[in-house]
Amino acid sequence: MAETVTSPFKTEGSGPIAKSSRILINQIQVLLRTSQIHDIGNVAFDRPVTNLIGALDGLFKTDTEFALRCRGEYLYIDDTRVRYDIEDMVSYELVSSIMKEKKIGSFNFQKPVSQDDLKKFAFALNSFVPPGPNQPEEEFNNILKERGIYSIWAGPLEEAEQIKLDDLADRRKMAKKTYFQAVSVTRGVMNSIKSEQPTHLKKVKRVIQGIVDIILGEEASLLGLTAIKDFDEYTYNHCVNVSILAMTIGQKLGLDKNMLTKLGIAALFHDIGKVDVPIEILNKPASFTEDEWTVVRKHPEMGVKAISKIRGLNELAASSMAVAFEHHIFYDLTGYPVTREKKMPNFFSRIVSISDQYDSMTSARVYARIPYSPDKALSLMMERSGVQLDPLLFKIFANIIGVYPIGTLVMLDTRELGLVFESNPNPEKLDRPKVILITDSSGKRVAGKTVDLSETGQAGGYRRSIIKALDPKKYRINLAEYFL
Amino acid sequence: MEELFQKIPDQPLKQPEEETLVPESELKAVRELLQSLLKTKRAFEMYPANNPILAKFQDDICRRFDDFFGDADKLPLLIRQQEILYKGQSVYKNTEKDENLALLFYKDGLRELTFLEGFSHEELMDFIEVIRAKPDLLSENWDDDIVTLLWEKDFAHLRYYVVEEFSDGEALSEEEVQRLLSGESSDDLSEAYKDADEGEAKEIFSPLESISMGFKGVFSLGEEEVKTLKDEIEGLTDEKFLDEAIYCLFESLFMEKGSQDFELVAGSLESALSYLVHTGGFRTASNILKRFRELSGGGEGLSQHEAERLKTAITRAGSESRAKIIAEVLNSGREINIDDFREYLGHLDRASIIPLSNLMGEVQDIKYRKALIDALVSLGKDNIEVLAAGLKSGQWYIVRNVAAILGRIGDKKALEYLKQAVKHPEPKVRREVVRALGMVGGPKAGEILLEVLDDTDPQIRMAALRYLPQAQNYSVLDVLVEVITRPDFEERALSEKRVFLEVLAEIGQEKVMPFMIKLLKKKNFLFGNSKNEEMRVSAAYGLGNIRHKDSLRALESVSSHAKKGSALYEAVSYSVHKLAGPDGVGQEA
Ligand SMILES: [Fe+2]
Ligand SMILES: [Fe+2]
Repeated sequence: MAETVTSPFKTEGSGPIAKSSRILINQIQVLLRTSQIHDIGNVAFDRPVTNLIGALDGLFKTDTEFALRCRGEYLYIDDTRVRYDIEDMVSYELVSSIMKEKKIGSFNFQKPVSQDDLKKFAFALNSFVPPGPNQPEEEFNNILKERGIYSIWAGPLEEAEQIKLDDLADRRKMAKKTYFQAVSVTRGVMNSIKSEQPTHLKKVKRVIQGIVDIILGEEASLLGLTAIKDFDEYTYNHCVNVSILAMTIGQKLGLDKNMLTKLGIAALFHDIGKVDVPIEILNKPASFTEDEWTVVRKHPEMGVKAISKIRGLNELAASSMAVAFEHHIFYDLTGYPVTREKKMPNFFSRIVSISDQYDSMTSARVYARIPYSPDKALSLMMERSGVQLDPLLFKIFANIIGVYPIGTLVMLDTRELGLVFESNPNPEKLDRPKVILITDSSGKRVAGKTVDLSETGQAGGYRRSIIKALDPKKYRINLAEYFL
Repeated sequence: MEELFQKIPDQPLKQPEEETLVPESELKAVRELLQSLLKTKRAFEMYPANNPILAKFQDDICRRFDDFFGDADKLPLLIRQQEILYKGQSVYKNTEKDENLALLFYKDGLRELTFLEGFSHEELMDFIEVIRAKPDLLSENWDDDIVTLLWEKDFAHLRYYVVEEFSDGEALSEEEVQRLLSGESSDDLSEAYKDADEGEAKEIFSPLESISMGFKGVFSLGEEEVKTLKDEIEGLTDEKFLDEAIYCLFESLFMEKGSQDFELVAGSLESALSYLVHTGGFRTASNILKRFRELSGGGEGLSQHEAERLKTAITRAGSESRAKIIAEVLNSGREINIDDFREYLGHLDRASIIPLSNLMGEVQDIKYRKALIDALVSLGKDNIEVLAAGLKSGQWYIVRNVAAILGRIGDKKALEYLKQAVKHPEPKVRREVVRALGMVGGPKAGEILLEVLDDTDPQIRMAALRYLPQAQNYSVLDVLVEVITRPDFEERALSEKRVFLEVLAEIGQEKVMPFMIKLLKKKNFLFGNSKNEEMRVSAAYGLGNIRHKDSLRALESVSSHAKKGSALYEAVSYSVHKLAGPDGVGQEA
């Protein structure tokens, strides 16, 4: 197997350009909001406008012109993706959803941009209604010119349908390859631990780095794969799923790539202590006896021992140890193991707790003998938010999984059936995920085509909406068939 | 700039494999650049980071990259096992196993490496950091290779292509994947339609409801919440994780009380300790030691055996081999918090005394040496005999350091040991021993100091003399007088003679006054003026230490005869001044 490790995307880290980019996006959001409430002469504009001018100056340092682009779910300054900090999450998603709603792909800024230009631009954008599919950006540019704004103009939304689909296919292929590499590397590591052979973590690190690359590019392709469960008799598949879910939360939180790698490895090893739990117990079809529970409940501590056995301690092992030990302790400290010194589980442990619960509940082999449907699992977890689960991290997680979690079977108002494939990052459109269609309106099976439920038709209304959520397992739908 | 939706290439970017016409000068530049890269890498492996010699190599490789990018916009290198190609031409060839740049890249799966214009000096230094061999110190903990490190550095102007080799039996084959995933899939979904139509399908928590809450709803974070998360993220430091891991290990240790695995976890904590010392993490390391101490003290339900186990761990934390590592870390130039280091030392037990004393000769930085001395002083207080064993060391500097510490402790028990070192062949040792004797003080110390009066080194003899008054041992007077009256005493330097007589006077006071006055007044015409004159000068200085009116009177009587400006005149005046001054013996009315 050959694998490229070069990331196709450059994500701007922490330099001054990155900072200006973040301020730009943040303040555009403030500016738009302000212009919805106040008149153009209001002092409320002073701050956002001044901040924006500052950010623009920062970005003009290298060139007299640049573009703020929206591609897929991400924002770019020219071709560098803007990495957001947790603080910018809301404005980041708002700006990108507004651009999509107005069918505008980019805003180009040319030096010099005046304060007046910015204010007028905000009012123009707020009141702009895209006139249909034909070059809405030109329409908007006409409005800008009418108002005397020449320093800002719009570019077309990259009607990337075609390019994107090809690309998506490639990405899915890549994601699939990486996913199964991760499963086999996990199997290799677990086996070497079980047989007390020397364990090489380089491969683990490489494969997790590969996943980070994919997640930073577009998380959906891997998240879809986590909906496929229980295909190995051990828990490798579970480990990889938990790792991907945890890294996706980490990505939303704006962790940098090295931190994401650390989180991914820790999450992958969260159940490493189970290598010592007899397979008969792990795969027992009935509920555990008290004795069996005692054995299973020991796995966090066994995990600590397993990790220290293979590596002793280093920076990498440290976070893995913490997660292995604490992932069942819970936010309210009511879980196991019972510790002498009570303390809030580590941030990573709390992220993994959430990922682990979700994947466990939706899998047949981990704890629950009969898996919950994804939406049932999520609503159960919602009840535990603030109790067993960190409420803030749960919000992030719910945002990723969406109102209709990935893998949910949905009936659309077109009488098509679809499988939810990717949630809508705009919190106002959580009920409009991306869906793979599996039947047409007459109920006939179709080869999975991906549709975006936030897509609007000619008349302006949504093309498709969900009317019901169903459990795919009940109807013997093999998710793998669609998600691989 | 990168293409927007640039595909992840499945194939490496093509390079001309066949020979193309490349100017010889260009090839030469690349060849030399690679050689310079290899040399720089080697230099960074050989010398510590602060060695000035590295700058030379650094300048050379930077210049070569700059020169190359003066004419070209990229430097693509194709990696083979024993060869590196540039534009289809060989620019590096090496069939050896060691120091082979091609193999170094090849073995980790790198097949192509392209430096792009704009590759900065900073990136270049990062690159060298990536490819240089890592110190053995950490090799057992090494979970990286060149590829993982390149990824972490996230170079802006470097592209690479890697192949991933999976050994047999490790990778899941395509068929295996298919088999694992094949579940029956129903073609008939009419059941689903029926459920949907009949309203059987449950709706999950109402999406509309949560959406109506908008940004304040379940899925959105408030400003405060964002701040909470941000603070948590900022707190994710390596040190924090290490602390967490130690917490887990101690919790596990408790869970293993009375079990065989207690040993395993205790061992893990010990290796954690060793790792922390390796990496200069003395704060966390001292926390471990502190807890070991608390736990081994009993009262925590540990068995005798378990408590002993932890005591052993403390002992090992200050062992010879651990001390060597500490020296390496302290000398590495790494930033180390001195208070943490002091705290670590403070938790060690008496077994560390000898290793720590050995350390003092190896540690370069004075501030760490001071910390070591302080630790040894406090450890040595109750363990004089252990510390004193260091005086038998074959390494003179260790003997010196131990002597210094014994002096600082000031315990009289140290004297019998110091006595053995007073004839040490190394003058630096003897000087330190003398100082230590002086610091310990007391009659016994005085006796030992007397043995030094015959030392071959006048500096040491004088040092010993200066410490004698503190010994408060009058029996030394006889010895001093004996030395002074030796016929060859006059041959010694004036400065030494002066100290002898000053010390004699200081200790003996009135008892030696007649002797001193005699010396002051004694004129000997037989042995040339100068030597005799020096004895008188010294006696004059000495009398200044005898607070008695006769002493003053004798000095004054000489003063009137002494030639103005002569050494004798000066000495007499000095002592008269001292005795007649406001605090002096004064003159009887
Ligand atoms: Fe678990
Ligand atoms: Fe788990």
